[in-house]
Amino acid sequence: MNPRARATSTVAISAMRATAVLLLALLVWAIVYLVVNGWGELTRPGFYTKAPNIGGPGSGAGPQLFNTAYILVLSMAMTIPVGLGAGIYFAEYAGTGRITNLARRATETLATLPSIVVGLFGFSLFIDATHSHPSRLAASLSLVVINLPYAVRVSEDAIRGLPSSLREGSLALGATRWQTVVRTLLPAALPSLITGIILVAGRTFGEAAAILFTGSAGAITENSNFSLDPFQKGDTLAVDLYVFRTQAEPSAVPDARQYADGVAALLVVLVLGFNLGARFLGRSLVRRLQALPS
Amino acid sequence: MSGDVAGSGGSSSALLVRRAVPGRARTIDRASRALLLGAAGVSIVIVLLVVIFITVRAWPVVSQIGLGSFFLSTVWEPDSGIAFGGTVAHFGALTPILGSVVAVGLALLLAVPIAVAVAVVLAETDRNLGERILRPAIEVFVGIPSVVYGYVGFVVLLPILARIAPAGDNGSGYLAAGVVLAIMIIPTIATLSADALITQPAALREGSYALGATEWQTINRVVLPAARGGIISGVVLGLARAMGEALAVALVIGDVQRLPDFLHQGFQAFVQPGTTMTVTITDGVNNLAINPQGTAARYMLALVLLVVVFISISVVRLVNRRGRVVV
Repeated sequence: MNPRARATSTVAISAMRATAVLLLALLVWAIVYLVVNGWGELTRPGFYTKAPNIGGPGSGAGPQLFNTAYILVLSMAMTIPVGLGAGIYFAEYAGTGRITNLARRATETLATLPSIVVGLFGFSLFIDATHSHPSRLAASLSLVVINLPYAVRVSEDAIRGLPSSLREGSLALGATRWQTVVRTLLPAALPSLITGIILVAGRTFGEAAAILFTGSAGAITENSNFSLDPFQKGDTLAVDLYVFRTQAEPSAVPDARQYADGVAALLVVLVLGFNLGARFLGRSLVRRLQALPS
Repeated sequence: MSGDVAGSGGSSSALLVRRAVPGRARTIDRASRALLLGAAGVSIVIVLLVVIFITVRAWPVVSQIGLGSFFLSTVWEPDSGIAFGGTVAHFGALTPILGSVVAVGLALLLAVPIAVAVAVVLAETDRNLGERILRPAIEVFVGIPSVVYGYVGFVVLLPILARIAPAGDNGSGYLAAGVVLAIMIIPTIATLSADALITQPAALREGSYALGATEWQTINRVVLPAARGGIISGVVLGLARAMGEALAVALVIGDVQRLPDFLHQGFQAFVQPGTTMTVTITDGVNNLAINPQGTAARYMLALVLLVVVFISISVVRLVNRRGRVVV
């Protein structure tokens, strides 16, 4: 081993380590920066209840937060049954047939679809073709398209991760495949299923382009209207982060920067909360289930 | 592997079912199987619907505007038609198409070396620390919404770039878009590359060390080439994600139909406002209903993105037959 090669090796590996450390530092800095900048808004109660105030100070993101939660719940309520069903099918029933292969390919394709393509698709199907208008329902349906492949993936992985002795034991006792799934596999997979579903739900916070086209059509909700009507327009936090900084009218608002800082910080806190919460919940559920006498 | 086990288990258990299980349970078993297959088939239906709806809505570009004046012209004046009090509208989309290529090209130039370096640290040089700290951190990275990255670019990056931009510009442009997109796709490329590196057999490295190679030579000439399938998958999927990202780019690129004029302006060309396909689609959101031809032109851009997605998935399948596309 000549000394020159050894020196090159040390330098190259040090450079790569430095890159990794810098990237980590950048991530930590970005999170701290966003939260510190939005701290004033995050700690002001009016931020969570008032509506964005076009043309005057004292904005809040109340309706946007409400719409975000509304669309998250509605879209997940539609995504979970289908995603879980497909996940069970891929994990337990699917062989290597042509239809199974096609379904797998389609799921992978959905996972790669750009949000904005889904937005245009959602606009043409849920709004144009049905003579409807942008609404929280249309936005939720579009999010089903985006989240479904991930729900399928976490469901399939949760069931595949189980030891096959569980399945074999149940079948040996004379249970049907369906009975095995419902009474043995699903309960055992519950902790990882819950973790996975929460992680998928957390992705909803960041979806913007699809909702811009199907939920809000570029408008900002200016009144604190917390109705449950799915046919109302719905702009979410992520969408407004874009709209408030780029469209002409909102940029004229005196505290636009402050508002957007608050929205960005709230998004980061929500996403991190869901991410860490899901992992923590998953781990404690596993512990509790394992502590049960068997 | 486990799929095969489940499959063979299915046929042997079907024998059992026929003999031992009472009729009602058997009926439920069959019905549930059909229902689950239906759930798995929903994805196929959605993909078909997406392709059909986007194509049908983009069709006026073929029948009224002409593919030539769409793909070969850089004159994009969609809102100057009769609906807007003008006479003739133009739908030349070459600028946004090439703009996407420039922005994504810059993003890959920045992201690939960084992501591969991070993957090597995670998988080769510091695997213990990597799995404990680096991988969870990358997962957090993935979770942060892209529009938030765009916002950080808007409030932090643009003021910095404004100093090297021509007077009067705010720093938005292809460089800002490239940086934001690079940050966004680094986790995708790094994770897939690291996974590919980790699965390489230890014998590869041992053989290289036994021949007297240094750690860097082993990584650079043996392990990285062996893992190129996973790395290419990561790069291609990162490319597809970057090409499809809309609002994060819209925040920092300036949304002006202009390509970087590198020959005359040099580096400054990249800190002047530009556009991409997604940004051009986005700025039509308020006119979707009132400007049918402009909307059709935007659906055609979406169709181009759809084609990019299909090509990306095919490439990934080709280089990495057993690889997963969903990250």
